[in-house]
Amino acid sequence: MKPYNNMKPEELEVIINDAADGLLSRDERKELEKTLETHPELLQDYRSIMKLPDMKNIYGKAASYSNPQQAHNILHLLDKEDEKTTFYNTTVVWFRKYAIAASLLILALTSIFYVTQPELLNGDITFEEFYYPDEELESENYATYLDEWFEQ
Amino acid sequence: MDSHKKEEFKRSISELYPRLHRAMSAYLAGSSVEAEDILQETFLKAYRNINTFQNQSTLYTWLYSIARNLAIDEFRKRKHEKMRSSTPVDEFELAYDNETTDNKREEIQLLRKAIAELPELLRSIVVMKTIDGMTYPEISEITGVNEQTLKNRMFRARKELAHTLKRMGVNEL
Repeated sequence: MKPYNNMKPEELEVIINDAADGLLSRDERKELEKTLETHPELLQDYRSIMKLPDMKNIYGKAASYSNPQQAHNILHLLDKEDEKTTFYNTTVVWFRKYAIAASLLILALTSIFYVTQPELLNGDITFEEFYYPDEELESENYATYLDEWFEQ
Repeated sequence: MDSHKKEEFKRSISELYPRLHRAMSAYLAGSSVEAEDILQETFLKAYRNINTFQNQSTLYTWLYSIARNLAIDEFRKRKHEKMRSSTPVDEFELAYDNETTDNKREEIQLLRKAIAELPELLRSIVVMKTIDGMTYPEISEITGVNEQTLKNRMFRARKELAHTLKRMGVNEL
């Protein structure tokens, strides 16, 4: 490390901070104080900082912040999270396992159906005609009614 | 693997909770954000992302960074409110040891208020360093700021604290 008297103010600020953290030896502190005499503003900051009270215990001991009820609530929340994850994972696994098989089955059945009914493939009759051969569509009746009405 | 990590995480809650609660109480003092709410969200978020936790950092510093980010998000959401403390000094009263004298109590209250008045950038470092007792490398890991910059910020924070306490008449600084 370079001598304090060759340091820039920003570097001296770091050294002052080290002094406040108790990292400097007695001699190092003396040398720092001597150097700071040429930086009156920093010397003032140094003196004020070194007088700061110890803040380590101003919020008491960590043990006094233990809250078994709150810790229990958190654990309960985490258990609920586990349940959600289990449901999600089960659903995904189930879907992966069976949904693809079901899709393939539907595709196969549809293919078999068309292969066994060549009229549908040739376009001789429509799907509706195949299933509802005797029923007249409402829309067709309505179209006929409109034609007749316009002719009148 | 994940279930083992999760079980370990659950077991560590009772040990990590008090320290994190104290640190968050100090960090959030004077704001309208409740430490308990942040802690609950922190543990839940950490649990959901436990597989991303790398053992290079300690579980505590990882949780701390999650808690700090959640608190900052909450500050942003409530930015119409004053982020800096406007809370009366009395409301900074928390736990005291029985042997704490009245004078000491007043000094502690003023110190808490002075820390709460610092801007977030400086307050977070003061809380991590002086109250929570973290090292600069640990703080650097949480904040993503290099140690040199952290030390410069700590200097600024101490300077501001000294100035505020002098204004408040603590120890005739």
